[in-house]
Amino acid sequence: MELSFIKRLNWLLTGLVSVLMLVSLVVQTSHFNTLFRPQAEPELARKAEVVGSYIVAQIDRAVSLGFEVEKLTGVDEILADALAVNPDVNYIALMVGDRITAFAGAADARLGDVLAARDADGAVAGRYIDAGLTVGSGGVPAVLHVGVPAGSVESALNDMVFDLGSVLIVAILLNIEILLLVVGTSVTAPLQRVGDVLHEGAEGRLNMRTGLRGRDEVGHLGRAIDAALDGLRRMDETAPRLHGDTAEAPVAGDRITSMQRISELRFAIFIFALAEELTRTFLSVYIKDLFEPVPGLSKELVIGAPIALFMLLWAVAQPVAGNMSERRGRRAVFLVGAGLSALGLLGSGLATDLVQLIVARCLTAVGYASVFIAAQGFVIDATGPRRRAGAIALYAGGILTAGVCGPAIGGVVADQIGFRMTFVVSAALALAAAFMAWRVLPRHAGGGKVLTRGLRLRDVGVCLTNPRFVALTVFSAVPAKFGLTALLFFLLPLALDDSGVSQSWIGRVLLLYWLMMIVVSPLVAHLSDRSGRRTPFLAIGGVIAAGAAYVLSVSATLPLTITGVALLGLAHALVNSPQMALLAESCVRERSTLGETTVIGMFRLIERLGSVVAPFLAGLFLAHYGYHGAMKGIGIVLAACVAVQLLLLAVSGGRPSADLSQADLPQADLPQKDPA
Amino acid sequence: MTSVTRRSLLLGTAGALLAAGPAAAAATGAPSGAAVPGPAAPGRGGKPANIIVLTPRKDVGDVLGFRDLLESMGMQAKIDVREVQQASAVAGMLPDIRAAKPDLVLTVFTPLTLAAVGRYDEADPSKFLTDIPVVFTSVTDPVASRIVRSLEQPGRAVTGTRHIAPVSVQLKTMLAYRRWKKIAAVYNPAEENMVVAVRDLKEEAARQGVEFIDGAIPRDGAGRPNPAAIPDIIREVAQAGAELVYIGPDTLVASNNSQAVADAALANNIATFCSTELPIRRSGLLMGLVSPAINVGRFAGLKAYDILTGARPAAAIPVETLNRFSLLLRINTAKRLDLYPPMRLLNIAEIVKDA
Repeated sequence: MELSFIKRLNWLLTGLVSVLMLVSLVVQTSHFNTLFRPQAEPELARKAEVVGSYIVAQIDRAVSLGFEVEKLTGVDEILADALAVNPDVNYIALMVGDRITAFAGAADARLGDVLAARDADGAVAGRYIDAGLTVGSGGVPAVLHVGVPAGSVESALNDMVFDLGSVLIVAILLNIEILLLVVGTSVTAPLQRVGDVLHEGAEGRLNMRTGLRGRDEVGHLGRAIDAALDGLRRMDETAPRLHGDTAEAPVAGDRITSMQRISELRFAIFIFALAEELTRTFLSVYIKDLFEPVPGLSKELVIGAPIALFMLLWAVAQPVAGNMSERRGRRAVFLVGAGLSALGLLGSGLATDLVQLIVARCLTAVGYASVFIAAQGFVIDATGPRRRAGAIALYAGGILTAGVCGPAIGGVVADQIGFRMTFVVSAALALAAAFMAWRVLPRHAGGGKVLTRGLRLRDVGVCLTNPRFVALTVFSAVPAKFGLTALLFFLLPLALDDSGVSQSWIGRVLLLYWLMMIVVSPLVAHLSDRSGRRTPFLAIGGVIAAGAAYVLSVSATLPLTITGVALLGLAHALVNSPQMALLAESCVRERSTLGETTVIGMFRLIERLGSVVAPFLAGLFLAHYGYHGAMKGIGIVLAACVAVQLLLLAVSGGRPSADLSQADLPQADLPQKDPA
Repeated sequence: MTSVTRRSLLLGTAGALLAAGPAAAAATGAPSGAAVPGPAAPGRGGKPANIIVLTPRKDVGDVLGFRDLLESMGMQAKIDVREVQQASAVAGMLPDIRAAKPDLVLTVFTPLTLAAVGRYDEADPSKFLTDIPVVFTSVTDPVASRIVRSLEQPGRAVTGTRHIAPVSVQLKTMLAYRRWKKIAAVYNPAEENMVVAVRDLKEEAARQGVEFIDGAIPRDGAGRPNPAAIPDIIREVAQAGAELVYIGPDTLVASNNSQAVADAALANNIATFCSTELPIRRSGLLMGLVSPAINVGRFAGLKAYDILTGARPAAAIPVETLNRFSLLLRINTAKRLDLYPPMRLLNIAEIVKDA
């Protein structure tokens, strides 16, 4: 579909929204500094005093019973207790005379036996506002020090800026989604129809009509053209008809409505993918909350089980659902799938133990597989080979966009209404998507279409004897999915949550991955196609992915985490398109004997095994080596895969002669992004 | 130090705060006021209930609590309290007790209870009370002492209350004070309930990795345990490395000689822990995790109320312990031993001060 009109409109609106957002950001910031800060800082100091006075009362009681304040035991414990229930207090220290006798909290606030030096503003260690409370009466002078973060006002401000920043990105992407829907269905598609009708008319076939009945300008134009054509036709009543006849009109019409349907379907798919993406930031944390011990299995391994099972069922259900959708119709399978997913999401939110959650997740997985394969099937049914790649790209774009928007929105939503309610929101979204699909998708199957033959074990054998296929699938695609699931879906949310990072922040971090994919992937596809080189992209991407795992393993601080996630996004953007191109080029023989769909189906199936294995292996690593060790371990696995892949490609000889005319075919494939 | 659960200790404070009257009974989790008195039930409307109490001393908290509960429930009762110093004297009192035709007998502590009702498997009607419902109070381990067959189903018209916290909770409390490496139990081996209690403590100590020293009191020439040996035993266990002396619900050691234990422990600079209330209040012991006797007595009163009103037969009323305990701390002993209590314990403890 020609999108230039939409593009222009989009840039205009995006620019406008960005400017408005930035202005509001600046206004908010200045308001924050002039109005809020003078009130906030004394409030923080008061909070420190309240926490402190509670402890002072306990120590005072002990002193009044006749205990000497410097000999009290277990003060560290009550300080730690108080810190545990007041997470916004950084440290509490009891100083008797001029030395610390008990301390709990941030280590950098302490310098041996005394508090760290104060800066010009009186902040301890340059970071903490310190409130001192006198303990006991007379005797040895004792003071309880309570520290709250001096920068908490700034960090709250920063938080807001980042929140608005992610809202900006999400808004822009949502903008595009809605524009594509509105303009695509009510402007672009009708205009194409008008163009087609006029084109026919120009060639003398006057029996085609635009059939546009809308009450807007486009409808007006359509009716005017129809009327003009009617007039022409009456004048030309006796003229002999050319070879064209009425049979052609509905065909062209169908094509146009199907393009319209695809842009509507894109929106439905976007909403549907969003449902799952909303839960992305907290799913592994939620599983951990529901955890109950299973004899003989480590905690980390059990936590990995629901994610792994989800991936496994996803992989297994996809071919089955695909087959089913060819027999029973795309719409039926889509609706059943969306219904199952909604049920599964609702069940996940209501689950009271791990078993219930696993069952719910399995339902969701089957639903997801059904919806995506049915939607893809519809796009393939509805498009000719010439427009198929573009249509698939259009449809898959919705999934990618959901990947960016989902975690960012989901994190904020989860922070506000909790994990369980977010699941309920997701279930509602899945139902909304089902409703849209119910209106968009045709009731009946294409009919008479030759059924794609299913995957057979022997086919796998055929493919696995091709070392290039093995190198590409097992040692490039599988590690990519493995890394994505293990790092981004499993370990990172757990690790960040453990170190106290808010759900909103986790959402922002995950958003970065998809943003890299969206921005870099097309560039890489372009570069790779122009140079005709694939292996260097795969190798560099693989190495960067391993590097990303290493960066993530170094520490759980936000700057490093952000770098690591961005690197992972870059790495996967690098391997994504070249993988598909290389698959087409490496498996010429297999494609001709087994068929394009079968080879790609097999590639996708094997690739998903990476996602299935990931939670288990990551859980195993986690149980033995902790978060950092686990991420490092995953980096090592990824690096090893790159090495084996390069070795296999080198051994199997140079670049095979590729049928470049077919190089665009693999694009007519599943969306590049696995929404699971 | 961290092994103690704060929850269990916090529950202790709650127990110390138990209000008087039916509220206290309700807090034990036992059904209260559920009974609908039958027309023939004594104590209401008609003639007052006739109750005989057998106790070593008239002023024990159990008796006060028992009386208090029945009064607060509005039961008319004639409570005849009889002081019995020696358990062996009970047998001679039986004809007199029978002649008084009491509706119920209350027995205080293990020895008097055992003397009054005998063992369930050899209850000779000529030697023991078998035809009158008996409620006991502050009995350490009625199953080990074979007073009842099981706690849930006494199996005969004998039921009552226990007053000792589970041994694991007691040990946790001791270890919350300090992570002692060696503890000793000083006890009278002639008291059967003590043998059971010490055996349980020894097993629990082994589980917690605490070394246990047995400080049984030796018998004198006549074969009777000699309380005069207590200071020597405490010196010996201290020399063997014990950091804390435990005394249990022991009549000889805890009830009658607790001051000797406290003095000897102070002299040898070791801590003391007691599982019953009075010894801590009366002598300079360091600490204890206890059921306040008055609450145990109230709980027994509630069981008596159910029996007297005919709500439930005694044989069907389970033997229970209060599930909340008080942590008692004697501040001056802590100071003299230079063993400051950890702040967490201090915050929840009931402080016992020297008079």
